[in-house]
Amino acid sequence: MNPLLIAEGLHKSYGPTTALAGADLVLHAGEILSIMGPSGSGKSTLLHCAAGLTSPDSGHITYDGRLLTEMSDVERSALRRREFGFVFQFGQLVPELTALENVALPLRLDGIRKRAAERRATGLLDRLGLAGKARSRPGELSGGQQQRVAVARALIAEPKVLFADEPTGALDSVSGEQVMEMLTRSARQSGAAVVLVTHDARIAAYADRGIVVRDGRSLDRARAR
Amino acid sequence: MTRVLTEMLLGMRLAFAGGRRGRTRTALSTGGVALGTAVLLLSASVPVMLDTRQARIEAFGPFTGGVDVPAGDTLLVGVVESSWHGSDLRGLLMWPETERAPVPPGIPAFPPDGRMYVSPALREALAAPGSDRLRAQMPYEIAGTIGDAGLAGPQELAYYAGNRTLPDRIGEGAYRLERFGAYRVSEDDDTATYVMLGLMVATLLLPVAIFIGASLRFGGDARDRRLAAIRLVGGDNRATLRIAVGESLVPTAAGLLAGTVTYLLVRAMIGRLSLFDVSVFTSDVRPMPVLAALSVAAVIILAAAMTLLGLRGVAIEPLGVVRRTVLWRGRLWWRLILPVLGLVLMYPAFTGGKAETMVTIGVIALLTGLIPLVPYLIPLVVGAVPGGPVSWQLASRQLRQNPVASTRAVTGIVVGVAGVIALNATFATVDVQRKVHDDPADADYSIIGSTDPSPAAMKRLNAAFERVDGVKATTTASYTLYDPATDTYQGFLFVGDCEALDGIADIGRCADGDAFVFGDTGRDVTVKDGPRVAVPAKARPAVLTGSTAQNVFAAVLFTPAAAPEGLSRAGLDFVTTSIRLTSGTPAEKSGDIRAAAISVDPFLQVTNLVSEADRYGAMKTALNIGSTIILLLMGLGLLLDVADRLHDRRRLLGVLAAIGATRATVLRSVMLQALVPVVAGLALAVATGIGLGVVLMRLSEVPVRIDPVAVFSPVAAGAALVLICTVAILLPAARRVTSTEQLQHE
Amino acid sequence: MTIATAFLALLESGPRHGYDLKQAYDQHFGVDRPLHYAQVYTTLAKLLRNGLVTVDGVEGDGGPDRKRYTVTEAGVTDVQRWLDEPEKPQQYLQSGLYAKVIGALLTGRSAAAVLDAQRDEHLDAMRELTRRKMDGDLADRLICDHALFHLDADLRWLEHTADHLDELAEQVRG
Ligand SMILES: Nc1ncnc2c1ncn2[C@@H]1O[C@H](COP(=O)(O)OP(=O)(O)OP(=O)(O)O)[C@@H](O)[C@H]1O
Ligand SMILES: [Mg+2]
Repeated sequence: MNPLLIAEGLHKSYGPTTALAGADLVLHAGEILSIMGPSGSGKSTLLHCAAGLTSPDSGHITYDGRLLTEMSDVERSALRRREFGFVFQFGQLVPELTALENVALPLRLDGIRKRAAERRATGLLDRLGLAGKARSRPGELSGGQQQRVAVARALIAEPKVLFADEPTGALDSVSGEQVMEMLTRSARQSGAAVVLVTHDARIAAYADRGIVVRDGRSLDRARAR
Repeated sequence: MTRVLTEMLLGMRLAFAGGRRGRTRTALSTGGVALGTAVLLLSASVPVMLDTRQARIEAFGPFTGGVDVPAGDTLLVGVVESSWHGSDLRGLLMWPETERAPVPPGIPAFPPDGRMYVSPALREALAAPGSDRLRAQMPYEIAGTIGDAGLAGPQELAYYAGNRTLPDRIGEGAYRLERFGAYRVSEDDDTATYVMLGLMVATLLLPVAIFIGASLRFGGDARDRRLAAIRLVGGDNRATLRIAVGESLVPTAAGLLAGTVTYLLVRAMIGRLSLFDVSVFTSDVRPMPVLAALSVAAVIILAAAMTLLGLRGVAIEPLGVVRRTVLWRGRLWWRLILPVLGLVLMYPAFTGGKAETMVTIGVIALLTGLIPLVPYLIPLVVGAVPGGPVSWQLASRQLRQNPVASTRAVTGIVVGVAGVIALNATFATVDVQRKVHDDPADADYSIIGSTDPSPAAMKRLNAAFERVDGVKATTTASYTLYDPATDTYQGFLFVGDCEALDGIADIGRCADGDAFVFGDTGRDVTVKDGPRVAVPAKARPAVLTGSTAQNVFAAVLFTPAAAPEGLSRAGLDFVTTSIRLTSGTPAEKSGDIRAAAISVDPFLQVTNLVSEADRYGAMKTALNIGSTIILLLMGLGLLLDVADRLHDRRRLLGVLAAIGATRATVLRSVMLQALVPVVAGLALAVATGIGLGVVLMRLSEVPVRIDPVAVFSPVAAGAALVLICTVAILLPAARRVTSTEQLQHE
Repeated sequence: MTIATAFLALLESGPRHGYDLKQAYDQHFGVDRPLHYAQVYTTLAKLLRNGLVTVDGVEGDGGPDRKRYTVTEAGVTDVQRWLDEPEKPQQYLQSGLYAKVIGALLTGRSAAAVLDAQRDEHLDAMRELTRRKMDGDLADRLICDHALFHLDADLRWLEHTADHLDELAEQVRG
């Protein structure tokens, strides 16, 4: 089977700081991949590069046979809208919109009518146990609920890849696991692959496979062996 | 296409979202735009208003341009100019010479003798209590009302009366008119007035534009964060731009609408207002189509520009908002273009040139150039004091980081105050000049006419005026002297009793039969259209005083007993009655004096010498009213701006409080952040204002003099405004912003 | 905890047949290791002998399956004593893992490789447990969590040790 996303030899520096020094990443369709490593090792940078949110200084990223590094902003935006979903640690919801509107946002941006978009969003919120909170604004939700809304928003467009950077970082272990279970379950149901950055082994254990990043270099043990 | 629409709609949705705060913000922006639009539309209506008003006035103007019209199907008219309670009162006496004589616009037929048509405002004034003295000025029965066509404005005081004595008064105030509107009087304003008007419009309109811009930027930081979140879920650069535009479209469109409604309301009420003795008909208030379109376009362009400017220097990336420049580094050169251009264009003011358009553009350019200059000043000022307590450190960092945001609300104040200073200083100087100019030797009133110059008639004239309490009247008759050899004007021959002559010249002791001489008269003088008069050998030298002395090179003064033979009405220049008040004020006596004058002869010209109308009086009033409104508007903007920034930074302030900053420290730092731009801005305003003031004084041809009160009262007003607004926001918010509970939100 | 104590605890809620006992045990205590019938009957025989249970009825042909067991006073006391006694925390001082690390360092082999291999192993185990946990009921989840927390602790130790390998190598060789 061909990998869905391949990142090879990524280098990225911020001034004097080297964030990535030749990191690789291979993601197959539908698989859940964890990225672990110590703080500051470059996990987030790797994820951002792989998702096309930042451009690496050198290296190639191929998504579905296309070079991500050579796409225009418009193409990459379209990719984010249709093929990628994102869940970050916090602060990714639009505070002015309700939970329902936040979830429906990617569909609306893709030109889907409000009613249809919100119907699908309602269904997804239901599945994530947030039926009663659809009309609440992010400020009125708990951290766990906000993360679940973020998960719903990331999954609404039925993306092929879900990028999650410390999605449970701000949560206690019970709500963290709730979020992770819903995330992995929904991802498997819709066949989305997941790239999961975490420093918590118990969260990483939700993945099928894991890589470790150290000093900007990734170790893929499964491939090394 | 639908994508674009969806995104715009989403942006509009965002303008309404965000709970109470979000809605307040949108409402404030809308209000700002509405206010600005209304002001712009009103300004756009001024040219049409003035034009139609002028056209109307010209159409009923009873002027011949000094030409003697031969008798025919002509109307005999006489203009009576007077005033009532500070407003001009226009009277037109008329008597047709044939049935086909022209009927003035606004009335259906000639009023019969002793009857008059009155304007609605005059009818009202006559019906009001205490109008006896007004009534006495017009001894006519009301026959009807003057229609709009015969009036300059709805609040104008005017009457058209029939007077059968006119045929006897031809040449003494009455004259023949072939048709109305035949001769158009065009007033040309002097350069100074023109430039001052330009400066005033800029002083009042620029802050409005700045206010509109600032109100569209309310909540800008929150918007940037919102757009970043949208980028993350797949909005591309253009989509975020469209969303931002959609968002700003709501207050813009709503504001344009509300502004138009406000404009229409003001327009509907305008007929009831009389500002600076000018009233306009509602139907005259229509925006000039080009200017109206320009106003609307200006608002829309401003909205778009503010949106784009807001996004400039800020990259909305999926991972958040990136300020491209960490440390703000404003470049100076382009900020200097406008001020330098302004100075260059103003140059003719110093060389005495009359390039008013150029100077006006220069003045406006200099004033506009202040806008980008203010933010540039901030880092300089802040950099001058590197050390200092923690509160200063916090404030100065924030100011350096984003001077544009910190000065957004202050710029309007700076521009407004600079303009007001310039105009105020000029008015103050002109004012002083005017008071000095008036001669203390002059009487309080001067009444000029062509009545009987015989000594007996002059006595009767005095008696007629002295029937008014507290009035001392003296009368002289003046005849024009000319030099037959060169056929040029030479001076005057005055006839009057000792008291009267004493009023116009220093004559020393005097008895009836005395004569006096002033200047180089020669042995004899020639009266125009009159006899040759020998200057008596016993004539004593005298010196003319007061305004009588102006432009008179030679004069002979006779007491009645010494008056030469052969003087007739033909050579008469004027019969002038000087009135001095022995009790009471001009305001109290004017009505009675005018009434007395009209009872003697409706064509007597009554001039009030002590408080001659101020040349810039109307502009001063307009400036005072306008600048008050503008400063209040700016205060409101500042209030909202401080509140907005406080809200945006409340998390940071909460963190500061959490790590142990005292409330006083936090408050001081916020205070400093608000005050430093104001102090810097006002300093700039004072410098510019004084500079512009000097230019205006040069143009007004008055000695350059800077009145500290005129300069510092707007500064004090601006500073007080800022202080009050900042304190008004900070005190109630103090507890809230320094509460560590803010950390929990978002 | 022994199988005998577990049986006593199960019988305290009511008499049961031997077959029921095995089922209940497997459900609550067995998790990974279901009981053999042989174990069930030898345990029950031992309990009978010690007077901790009695047979309160025989049905049908009287085979081992057909006996119904009840707990005695002595049996209940036994359960109480078991619960009263806290479990002794394990000291974890004799860690095979630590031994391997020292071994690698002493012999000049790569201790990091040892740790990495172990981490993979642990993570594999954790993934397996997480999968089971997501499919299981509450009892399963709690059991899996117990194991996951322990493995997580081990992993943290592995990371921690990896961070200090250089220092440790110096001490061992020095
Ligand atoms: N925008 C940035 N500017 C400067 N340096 C950065 C930036 N982003 C990351 N870095 C640096 O790059 C390195 C890797 O950062 P990265 O965020 O990828 O680490 P991480 O593995 O995600 O850490 P953590 O587990 O703490 O989130 C760090 O040393 C960090 O300081
Ligand atoms: Mg990170």
